[in-house]
Amino acid sequence: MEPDARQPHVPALPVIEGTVSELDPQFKDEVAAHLGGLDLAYCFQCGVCSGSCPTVAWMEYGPRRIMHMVRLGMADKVLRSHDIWFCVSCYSCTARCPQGIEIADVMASLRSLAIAKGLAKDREATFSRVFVEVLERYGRMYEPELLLRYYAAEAGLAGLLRQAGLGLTMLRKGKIALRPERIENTGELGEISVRISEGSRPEPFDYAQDRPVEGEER
Amino acid sequence: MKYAYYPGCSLHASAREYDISWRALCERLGIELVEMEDWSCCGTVHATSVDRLLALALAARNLSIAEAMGLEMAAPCSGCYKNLRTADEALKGDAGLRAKVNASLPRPFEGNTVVRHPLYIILEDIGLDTLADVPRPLHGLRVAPYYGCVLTRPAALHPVDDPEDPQGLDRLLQTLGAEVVPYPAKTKCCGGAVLVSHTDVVLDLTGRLLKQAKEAGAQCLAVACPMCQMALDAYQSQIERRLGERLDLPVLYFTQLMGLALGIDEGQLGLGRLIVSPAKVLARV
Ligand code: SF4
Ligand code: SF4
Repeated sequence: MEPDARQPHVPALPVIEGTVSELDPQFKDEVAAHLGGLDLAYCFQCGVCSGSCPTVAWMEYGPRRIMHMVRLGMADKVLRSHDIWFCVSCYSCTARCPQGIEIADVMASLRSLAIAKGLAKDREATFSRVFVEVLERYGRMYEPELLLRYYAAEAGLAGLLRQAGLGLTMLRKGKIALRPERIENTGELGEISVRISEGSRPEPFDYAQDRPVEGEER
Repeated sequence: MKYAYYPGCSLHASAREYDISWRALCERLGIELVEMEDWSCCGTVHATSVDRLLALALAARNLSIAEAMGLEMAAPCSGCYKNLRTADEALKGDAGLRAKVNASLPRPFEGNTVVRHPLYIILEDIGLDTLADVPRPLHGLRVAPYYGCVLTRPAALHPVDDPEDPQGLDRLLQTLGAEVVPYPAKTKCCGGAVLVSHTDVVLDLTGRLLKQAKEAGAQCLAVACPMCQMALDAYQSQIERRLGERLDLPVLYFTQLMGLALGIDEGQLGLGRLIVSPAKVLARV
């Protein structure tokens, strides 16, 4: 096969700074519990995942190092990292991992742990949160509201204006619904969500202070 | 042949042409679609990023509607299909998880439906033999099949195709008379998950794959997912600007190409709703 120009050159690895005292030995178990099982001891750091990842060029660590950092307990660094939000859930890594690690699902778990603990800073975290809010409101996606709320929260007017041309084209082609579709009983989704959150969400944890986030303890 | 139809949010809005052409196709092929009553959004990757259990519950709510209908489910959006299929497999395989999710649902998930994608419904339940003599074969059309990521990944418990080198869409297009253009990016992700938040990432990924398809000689792409279609079609002018070159590659749903080959009236296929017009390319067929 010809050299693959789509796999970007991986730059020299930066040194990951951190001290042992910042490590959370329970972190890998927390991720495992969240996923319903995971044994990162099987990961032998071959790098097939990072080599297969379409967005590794935008990442600081890439999936291989993220897997190792989880195993080492580098919760703070991993959960604050933008890498987990550049993961586009393509499952290329999962398909190829010789050790059967569910890497893409680990990345998804890390995203939700980052949100739950209030450590997610990436724009995509905001988008995901707004998406779920709109979903729970109507039961179906209503893109105009999703986009307006996302741009209001994150990218501002400039971001919205940058895509104004596309918006008009989509409108002209009838690709934007002018009114939201609702399911009959939108309350049902709210109830599902409340029942799910009762007891299942992890406690927000403040790694800098080494204790649960105040006021949010349950 | 009868299926519980889960259109998903896109097919009711931005991707109505996929809905229209899929319905027209079903009518022609004798497939009966019963749209599920009160289906709700599957949550895509975003709900999973926020809360895995909530995402599973949202999927289970929809699965239980199909179960009550006593039918297999047809989900044309690869994102919905992946979410529903993997949730179905996870809940069938893990009684503890099922109990946890069911505790939140008004109707419990029972585990007696199967989630199918229309491409594989056609390949497996209709069969290519039936399509051997289509009235308007796509002779002379060079098509790049684009599977994207989650149509075939993560591998299903009972895989219907290879996760990294699938053949289903290739075989269908060949049977319809089209010339299938091979190119390595056919299962590379378009990045649709971060389309709004990290648009530049998507423009790079889609730019690479469209360029590759073009260089391989493709005149158009065939897709099976509304997210891929949107990223490749609606964003194509932005991709061209970034690449500094013209692509002009129409991105059609496989249902539209199939409808054409079967001689279904073009007005019933929603071709005019595509943003990069396929008119010039299709005129040569
Ligand atoms: S491919 Fe699997 S074993 Fe190899 S580094 Fe990635 S997670 Fe570890
Ligand atoms: S699932 Fe995420 S981490 Fe894995 S290859 Fe795809 S983008 Fe990279």
